[in-house]
Order: sequence, then structure tokens, then C-alpha cells
Amino acid sequence: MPVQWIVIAVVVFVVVVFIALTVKIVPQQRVGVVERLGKFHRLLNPGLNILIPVIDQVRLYHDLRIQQANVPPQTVITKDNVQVQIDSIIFYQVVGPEQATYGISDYVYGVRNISTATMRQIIGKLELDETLSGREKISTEIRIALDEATEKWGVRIERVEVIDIKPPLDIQEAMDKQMKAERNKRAIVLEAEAAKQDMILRAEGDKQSKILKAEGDKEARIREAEGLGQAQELEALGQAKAIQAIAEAERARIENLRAAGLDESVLAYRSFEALTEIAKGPANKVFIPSNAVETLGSLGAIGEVFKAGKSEK
Amino acid sequence: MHAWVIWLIAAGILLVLEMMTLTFYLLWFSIGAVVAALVAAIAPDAYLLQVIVGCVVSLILTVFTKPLSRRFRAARGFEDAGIELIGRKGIVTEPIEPGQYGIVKIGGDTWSATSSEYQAKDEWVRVIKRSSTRIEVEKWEEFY
Repeated sequence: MPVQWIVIAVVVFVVVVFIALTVKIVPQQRVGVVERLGKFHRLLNPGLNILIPVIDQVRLYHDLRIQQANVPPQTVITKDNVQVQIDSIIFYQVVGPEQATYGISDYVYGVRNISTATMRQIIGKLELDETLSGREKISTEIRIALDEATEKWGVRIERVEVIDIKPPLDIQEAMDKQMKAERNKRAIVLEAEAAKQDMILRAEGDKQSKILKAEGDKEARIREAEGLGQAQELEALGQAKAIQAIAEAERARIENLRAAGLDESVLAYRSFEALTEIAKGPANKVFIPSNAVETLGSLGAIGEVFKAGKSEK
Repeated sequence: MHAWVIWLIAAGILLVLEMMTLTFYLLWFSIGAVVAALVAAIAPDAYLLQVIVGCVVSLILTVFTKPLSRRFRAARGFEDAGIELIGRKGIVTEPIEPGQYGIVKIGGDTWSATSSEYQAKDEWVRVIKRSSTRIEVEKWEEFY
């Protein structure tokens, strides 16, 4: 009986191991490299796979997802001779499982080393300020160099990112100082600008007010002069009209007198009347102007003449 | 305790293990154990026979896994964005001289690219070949 049990145990064990090695389920995004008697045979794709246990052997599995590797901080010297500590991270992906197996012994280590070396080379070509802000440039520069190296490894480095750049302490202090100075400069410039604006605005206001005042004055004066001119004009017109009226009246009077038949004798008589009027005044003495006497005389003469004229007629 | 009961218990345990671990071959063992239980019900004392029948059934089932696996293979898996590059449109970010490598950007990733003719910066190109890390491109023309 024990013999029978031993046989049973052996058979079961062998069969279990055989079947366990035959059926291989490979999860998605993983791939196995199968060797048949030591030679590369095929790749195990995700899903259910059947192997022949005695002659096939799975050498190793590769993860096809993008993997990350942190590169420990490196001291790198920039173009302007500043030592900076660079902390970077690499994203890489196995794209050729055969090459990743047979092309290089340890691709993770290789990827790390090549990235670090290339990074160092590229940073060495850049100035410190460029390294701090030139992510795009670094990734572009690094691309060709890395692809050239990893072509035979079946690994593609997707990107190399600089996580952290630590300049030395004194440089950092200098940078801080520079920053402060920049800010200060900006503040001072702004203040000066404000003062300038203020002055300009004030002057503008002043100018405007003065101009307005002058304008007002001018306007007032013009108006005044206009008023004066108009008034004078009107006055003159009035006077002219008055003079005209007086002259008219005078003319009418003369006309009337002429119509009434005014002659020397009437005049003489009137003058006498006037004399008597004068004599009636409160003064005791009446000075008769000599020419009045003469006039009287002449009047008499004229009267004679007239009389003579009449008698001749 | 009958032999077939033991076989059935073993089959159940194997099935549960299969469901928990998803190795797939335990399923065949469990079916083999069920067959062995049937044999045990007919011939309760022939232990070796039972074991051998169970093992043979398991082996046969395992061999028949292959056509089954083909059927499963047809099912859609996860498509990696980086795998299907051929025919895709990219934009040149570093000019490509013939025989030298330039850089082409395809959907957010930068690739070293070579081409048979000069490609200027900001040109649209089509991927025509791909090795593991490099691609070959040509001018993008609409009449394809």
C-alpha cells in the first residue's frame, strides 16, 4: 500500500507542476520573454498563454507601462560656473521587450546613468538663469541624445523633468537681493511717476483755469465795448434826428415868415419892440449897442429907400 | 468517509482557490477531481486509477486551453497610446535634415525623427515607420 501512495503522490506532484508551468496568464501591459532551449522564441502577450514546460522557459517579464525613476540630487556646473544641485525625475517606457532583455543587462540603471550624464552635459551649456526657466529647452535638447543611446535598449525615455534646482546659498542670497532691489526700483519708479502725474495734472488745471478766466475777461470786455458803441451810435442818431428836426422847424418858421411877408419894416419894428422889452427890465440903465442904433439908422435909411421905391412905382 | 466525497471536497476547494487566484489551471484540476470522484463512485478502491484518470483529464483539458485562449485573445485589450503611431499627424519642432535627427511632436510627446527630405519647423508630418525610440516621417499631404 505505501508504494501505491508514493506513486500517487509523485504522479499528482508531477502533473500539478507540469500544468502549472503550461498555463500562463499574463496581465495587461506586461509581457514575458520566452526562450526555447536558451534561444529567444517569442513574447508572451497579455491574456492566456500555453507553454511547453520542458523546453520553454520564461526568462523575465517586462512592465510596459511608463515607469518613473528618481535620480538622486546631482551637482552640476552651469555655463557661468555656478554649481547647482539638480534633482530630476525620468519617465521611461519599455517599447522593445526583446532588446530590453538582450540589449542591455540592466536597463533601469542604464537609463538613470544616461539621463544624468546627458543632463549634466546640457546644463553645462546653459547659463544659470536659463536652467531655472528653460524646461522646454532642456527637454528638447535631451531628446535626441537620449533617443540615440536608448535606441538599442528597447527603452524610450519619455521625458526628463527637473524637479528642483538648488543654487548654492550665497547665490540664492544674491538672487534674493536682486529681487528685492528690483521690487524697490519698481516702487520708487512708481512713486516718481505718481509725483510727475500729480504735477502735470496740477499745471494742466492751472493753465485751464487761467485760460478760462482770460477768455471770460475778453468776452466781457468785448460785450462792454459793443454795448458802449451801440449806445453811442444810438445817441448820435438821436442827436442827428434832433438837429434835423430843429433845422426842419427853423426852415418851416422861415418859410412861414416868408409866407407871412416878412420885410425890413417889420424887422425894424420888432427890434424896437425888443428894445422896449429890454427897457422894461429891472436895470436902470440900458445900454443900447451902437450897432443897434446904426441898425436903427440904417433901418430908417432902408425905410427911406423903400419909400422911395414905392413912390417910384 | 467515501473516496468520492473526498474527491468532491478537493474539487470544491480547488474551484474556490481558482476563483481567488485566477491562475486558470486549478479549474482543470477541479474538473479532473470531479471526474475522479465519478470514477471513485464506480470503483471505490482503485485509488491509483482515480488519480491517473483525474490527472489525464486535467492534462487533456490543459491541451484544449489553446483554442480557448485564441478566442480570448480576440477580445479587446488595453490600447497603449504610444503603440499606434504609424499614420499619425505630428508637428516638427526641430527641423529635420536628411540623415540627421530632428524632433517631431505627436500628441504631447516628443520623438526623434528622421526623414528622406528636409522638413522645416512647424510643418505637419505623417509617421511612416517606427523603431523603438525613433520614427520616420514624411510630409503630410491631404490626398491620402
